[in-house]
Amino acid sequence: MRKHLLAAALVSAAFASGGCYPDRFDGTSYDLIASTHDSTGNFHATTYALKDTVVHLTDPGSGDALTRTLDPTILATVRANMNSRGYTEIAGSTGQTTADLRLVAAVSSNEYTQYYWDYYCGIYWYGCYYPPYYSSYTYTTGSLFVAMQDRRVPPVNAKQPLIWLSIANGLMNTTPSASRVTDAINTMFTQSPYIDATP
Amino acid sequence: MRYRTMALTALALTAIGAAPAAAQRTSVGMSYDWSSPMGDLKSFVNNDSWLGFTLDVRKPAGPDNRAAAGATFGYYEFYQMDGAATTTTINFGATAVTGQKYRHVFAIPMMLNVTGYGGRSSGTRPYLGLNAGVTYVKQTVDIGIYTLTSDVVVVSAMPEIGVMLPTTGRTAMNIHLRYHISFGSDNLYSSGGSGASMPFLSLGIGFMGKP
Repeated sequence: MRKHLLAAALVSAAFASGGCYPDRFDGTSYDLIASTHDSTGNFHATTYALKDTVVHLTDPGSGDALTRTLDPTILATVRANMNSRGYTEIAGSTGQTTADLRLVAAVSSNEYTQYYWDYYCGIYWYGCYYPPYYSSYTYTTGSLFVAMQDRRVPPVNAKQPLIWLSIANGLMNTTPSASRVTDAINTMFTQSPYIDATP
Repeated sequence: MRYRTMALTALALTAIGAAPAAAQRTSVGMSYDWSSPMGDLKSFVNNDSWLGFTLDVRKPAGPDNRAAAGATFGYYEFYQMDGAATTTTINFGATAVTGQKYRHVFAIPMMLNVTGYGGRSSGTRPYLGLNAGVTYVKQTVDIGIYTLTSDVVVVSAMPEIGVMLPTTGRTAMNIHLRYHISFGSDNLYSSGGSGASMPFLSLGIGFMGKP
C-alpha cells in the first residue's frame, strides 16, 4: 500500500514539475504585419518615388524619442522591394511630381502602462498583503508604416488617396534591429503580390 | 512560474485533501490530469496539456458500496505557440495580417456523476463512471499584441474508467481515464471555422477516500 502512495506522489510530482507554461514576452513574437490595399487601385506602373526621409510621427510639442539609426535601412529595404517588382525609381524632388507611384515610410511609438491587482505573501504564507496593493508594468509598442499613392489618379478633396498601406507593429522592449525591420518590410511586400510593375 | 506554483499547491492539496467524511461516507478526492486534445480541439491546439486538475465528490450506496453518485469539477488548459520562425498569414478581403500565433483554451467541466465499482471495499476497486453537465470553455487567439477571445458554456459529458488502489487508512490512490465530449458552439472556433467542439482525453492520478 505504501508503495502505491509513493508511486502516486512521485508521478504527480513529475507531472506537476512539467506543468510550466512559457511566458510570451520575448519581443519579436509579438510582431504583427498587416497590409491592405484599394482593390480598384492600379499597381501596374513604370516609375515610383520614395520620400527620402522617414517621417517620425510624434505628438505636437513632444520630442522625437525614436532613433533615426534605422531610417536608412527602412528606405533601402523599401527601395529594394520596389525595384525587385520591376519599378524604376525617380529620385529627388522630380520624382515626387513625375513618378507614377509615390511611397512614404513613417514610424511612431506608444507607451502603455498596465495596472493589476496583486498580493504578496512572505515566507511560510505568513503576512499576506491583499488589494489595494497593486503592481504595474510598462511597455512600448512601435509601428512602421509604408504607404503608397497613385499620382495618376486625380486627387479627392485636394488629397491623393492611398492605394496601399502596410503596418508593422511590435513591442520595443529591445532596440529594434536592422534584421527585424528588414524582415518586417519584406513581409509587407510578400503579403502584397499585386504590387507588380508588369500587367 | 504562476502555473508551477498552482500545480505544486494543487499537488499538496491532493495529498492532504483526500478524505472520506466518516459519518456519511462521502468521499472527496483530487487528481492531477494529463490530457490529449482530440477532434476540433486538436486541430486548434495540437499539444498535450500538462495542466489539469479535478475535484471529485462521491457518495457511495448499495451493498459493499458498489455504486456512487456525486459531482466532478475540473480545470484543464491547452496551449500552442508557433515557433519563433513560424508566422501565419490570414487574408480577409483586401487585407492580409501576418504574425506569430498563440492559441489557448481552458475548460472547466462542472458535472454530476454516477459510478459503479467492482472489487471489494477493502481492496482494489475498478470502476466505470459517467459524468454529465456543462463545461465553461474560454478560447483565445493572440496574434501580435492583439487577442481575440471567445467563451461559452456548453452541455458536455465525460465517461470514465478507473481504478482505486488502497493506500493507507481510508484513502485510496485513484487513477482514471476520462473522455470529455461536448456539443459544438458557434462561439468556438477551429480550423473548420465556427461550430467547433472541444473533446479531449485525460489521464488522471490522485487520491480519494475509499468507497
